[in-house]
Amino acid sequence: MESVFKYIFAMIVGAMFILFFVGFGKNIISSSEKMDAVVLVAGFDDYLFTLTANEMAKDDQNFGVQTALNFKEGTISSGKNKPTNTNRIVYAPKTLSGTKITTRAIRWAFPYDIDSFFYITNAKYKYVIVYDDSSKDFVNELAESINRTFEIRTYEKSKIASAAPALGRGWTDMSRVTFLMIGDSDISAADKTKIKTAIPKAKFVFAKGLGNEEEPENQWAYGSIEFDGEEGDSYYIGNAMLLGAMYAENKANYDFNFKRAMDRLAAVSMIYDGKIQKLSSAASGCNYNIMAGAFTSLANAAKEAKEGAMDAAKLNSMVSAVESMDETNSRGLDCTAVF
Amino acid sequence: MNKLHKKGMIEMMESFMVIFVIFILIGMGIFVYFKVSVSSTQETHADICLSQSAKIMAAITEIPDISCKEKHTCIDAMKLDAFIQLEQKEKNKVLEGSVCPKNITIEQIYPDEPEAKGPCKGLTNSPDFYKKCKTWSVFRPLTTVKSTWASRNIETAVSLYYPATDTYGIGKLRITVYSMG
Repeated sequence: MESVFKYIFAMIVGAMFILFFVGFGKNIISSSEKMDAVVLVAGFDDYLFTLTANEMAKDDQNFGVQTALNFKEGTISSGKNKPTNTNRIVYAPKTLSGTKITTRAIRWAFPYDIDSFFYITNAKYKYVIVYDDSSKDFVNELAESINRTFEIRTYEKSKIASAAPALGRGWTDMSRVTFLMIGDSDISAADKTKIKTAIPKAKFVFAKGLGNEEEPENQWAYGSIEFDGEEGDSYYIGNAMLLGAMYAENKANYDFNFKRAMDRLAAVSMIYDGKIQKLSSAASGCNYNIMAGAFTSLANAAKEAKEGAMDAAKLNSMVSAVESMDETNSRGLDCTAVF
Repeated sequence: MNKLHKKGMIEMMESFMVIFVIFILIGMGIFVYFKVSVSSTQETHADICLSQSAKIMAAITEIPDISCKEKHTCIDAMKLDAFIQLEQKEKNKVLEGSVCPKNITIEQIYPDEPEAKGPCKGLTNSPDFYKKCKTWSVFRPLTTVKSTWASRNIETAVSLYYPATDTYGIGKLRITVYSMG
């Protein structure tokens, strides 16, 4: 009887040892494998900063193991680790699961360079731009300018519903397929249903240009954004922000980044305001006063846009101010350009 | 019966002693492992910070807040002087890194102005502002730097542009990276 107890006791202790060492080993292996993701998260802002040197950049990162990166407004975390704050303007899905991520960056200018926007995604997310007659030239130019770095398909609005089944067959295991419609009107409800049937993970975003229709190069320079199924309009200024609407998780993520962009616009405008004060006292023959006022007004408008709600009228007045500032800046011969 | 019971107790005690010693050995092993692991993580951290800082050094002349875009790869001294006037929280939005405390300064080397001494504070609108000061503190660590932290300096020459006179100078960009030991 005694020896039976001994054996049971030895077995229990042995099992405990084995379980302890197996668990310990597994933890060590998984933590070292996820080190790359943890390093990325911990030094996220520095990592993104290194991509800002060029106007457009792309970085593919392979973690080697399944990793989940979580993006919330202003934070990033890996797995269940504590979130890290980020000051960067990042458009990304809420959760990116997989072994690889791709980070792209584009410099945003209005009218001078303000900051870089970052688009983080992986192969489980696909992006399609849909155009109509009014936006065809603009979308072609946009695709041509970004497709060395981005891989975006473009489709004509009238053909997208019929093309959806073929797309769907190739994209059965996608986490999401985002359709960004750029044009005068959104994809019809009937076509959206057809696309949804073929691609259940389809998501729709509609962008409408608010620029002068008689000037094709300006028509799409800024405009409004509608996220399907979400109430209220958002706004974009420039192609970098327009692309952000496609890469953003939802309206809240997009609007958060819009406010951040306005914050940076205000800060950079104040820097130019400081520069123009010095220039004014250096060159007495050059009247920088008009521009000085424009920088202050733009900074104030940007602060207002950051703190309150944006609307088409406010956007129009900001764009007009910037256009006149752009013209005044090209003052030619003896006066130094401010930007 | 009593003798048997006593023998059983002694054997039980022996077993517990052996298990106790084994646990102590395991505990010591884990302690040593984590000591080595923490030290290697600190080294990795320092290496990451250093490599990130080298990349930041390459990218810093391109940040819109201080770069002279149309002139390529140079720092606009007027924008730099205006940038340092921004509140610290605004500067953090551009240069804050989560885990690598760093100090970034730009020192004017040429032209060697005899009266140029001390830090630039961006308080004057005079176009000759750069003749009265020498060093711009672009970014300071967000946390208090402790004397026990190791640090490394990386320096490189940068081109400084003075828009009022359309001339160039030479500056020394210095990044000091701290390793939290």
